[in-house]
Amino acid sequence: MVAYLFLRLLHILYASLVFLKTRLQSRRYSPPQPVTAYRSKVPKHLAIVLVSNDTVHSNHTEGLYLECLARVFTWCRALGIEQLTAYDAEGILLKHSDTIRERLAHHIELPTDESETEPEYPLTPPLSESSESRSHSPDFGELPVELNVTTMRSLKKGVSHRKPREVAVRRRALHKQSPCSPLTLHIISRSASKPAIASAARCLLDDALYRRQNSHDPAHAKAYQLSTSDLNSMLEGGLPSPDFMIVHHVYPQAPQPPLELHGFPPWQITLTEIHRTIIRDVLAPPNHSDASSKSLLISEQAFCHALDEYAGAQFRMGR
Amino acid sequence: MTWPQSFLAFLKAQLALLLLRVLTAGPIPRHVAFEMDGNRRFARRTGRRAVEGHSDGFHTLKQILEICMRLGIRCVTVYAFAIENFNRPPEEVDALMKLGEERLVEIAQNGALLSQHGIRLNVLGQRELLPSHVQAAIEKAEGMTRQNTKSILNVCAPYASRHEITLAVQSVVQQALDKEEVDSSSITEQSIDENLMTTLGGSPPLDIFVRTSGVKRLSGFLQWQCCENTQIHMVDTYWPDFGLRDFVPIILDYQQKMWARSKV
Repeated sequence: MVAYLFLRLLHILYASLVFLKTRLQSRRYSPPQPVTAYRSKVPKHLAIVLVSNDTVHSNHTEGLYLECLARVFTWCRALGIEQLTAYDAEGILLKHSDTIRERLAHHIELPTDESETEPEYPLTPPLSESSESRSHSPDFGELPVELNVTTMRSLKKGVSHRKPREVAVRRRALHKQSPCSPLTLHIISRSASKPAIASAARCLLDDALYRRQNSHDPAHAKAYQLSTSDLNSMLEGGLPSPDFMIVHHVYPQAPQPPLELHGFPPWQITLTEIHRTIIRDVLAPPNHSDASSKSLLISEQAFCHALDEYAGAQFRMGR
Repeated sequence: MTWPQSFLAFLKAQLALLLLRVLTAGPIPRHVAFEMDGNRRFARRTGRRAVEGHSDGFHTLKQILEICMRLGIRCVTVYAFAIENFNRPPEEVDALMKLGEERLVEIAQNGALLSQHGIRLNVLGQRELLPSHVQAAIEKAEGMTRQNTKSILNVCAPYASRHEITLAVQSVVQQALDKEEVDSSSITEQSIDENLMTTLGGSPPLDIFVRTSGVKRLSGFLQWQCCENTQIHMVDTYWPDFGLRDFVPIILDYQQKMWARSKV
């Protein structure tokens, strides 16, 4: 009992220290560079993870998520970021994918490509670790696995529709110079996370069974072997790995609890640089008179802060 | 050391023990993982070789393990060597292999030390990539501690999370193929989780993930285990400098989460 009281005291002391540290950091806060400032490194694929309190699911949350996504989408296009993945665990964004497409309609010209029944080859090659080689068997990338990724692609305005491969080549050459570059948007929820890997496993089982039944000697089948690169071609075929992830809480708490990943697809986060927005950087939604809701949108300042941090990160790749 | 210094050291140690006792009055995480990064930069800061940084890092590991034991943290996982680390200069890789083998031999010879605390040692990863004498040392040390049930120490070497997930998927597919009636609905995220190396070694779900040296990536460590319901701390301290000053706030944050959850 005595120990418990001392522990509570320790927590009060800790909370006070955190509060003071936050205030001190606020005083020494320096604004980040603007969006279009030169940065030595800009991510090719950005992921935005939107988080709300577990108990709060309302129209208000949905509105916040959509607004945050619209903002990030616009900034990504301005920077020439080629891919954007938007994730929320509950699937609010997925539920509103039609609304998203309408809202971003002046950017997005192709119909939604749903990859629930068939996997797609990404327009840019999947980002993979240097130690992984390409799959020797291209069949793995063509297995019908449900990855639960909704993908929308935008074209540069005024460009006529071309075959996907040509668009990809053109995109890579232009993205640095074009002020409004084409952008691929992936919308995912938890269903694209561990359940997608389970779905891939079930697909592999069906495939292995089929091969066994059609083999010369089904009674003496060899032990099943799966390589990392084969599984990678299935999973990254639907959702490539992001270089950079920004985690944003729309209902932030003070003090901020530690970072969590909220079920983001585990396969794709091997080398993803992770950043969380800080309270100082975000802003209240406009026209919202209810001060007690304390919801916060992602601000341009928060986005720039994140980019500055990414530009400063060092990669040693195991060496 | 002069006697005032010895006395101060003694006092400091006693205060640390008291602090740990106080912490155990609240919720304690079941499983904590450490990505022990920054050994080489720590050594270079003082003009020493990278290998000496790894030695310092091992010393810190022993201290942190003792802290975890005193707190009652049942399972600790550490990232000792990544598969990508074979890309490092050969002399550094050799030195790391030598360090690992010496420590494993020490554990095997003083097996009583781990058994005394009921610690089971699991070495997780692509063992076949290691030199055969290191593999032999691992098997001996694991064999000596396999019956221990009080706590678990997972040493990941050489490890890569994607490799672990691939092996788990391979296992579930093989298990389904081995059944009389092949039923793909038996493969779920739960069955994949059960076939991860950490779970197979008896590890509970991961509560806290710590990476030192200021790097804000997972770099192939426990991706499946930490992507959900795990508090992730990327601290700026280099691993050899990591201690109570960094670890106590991490435990306090965990306790706040548990208390908040129990109120809901």
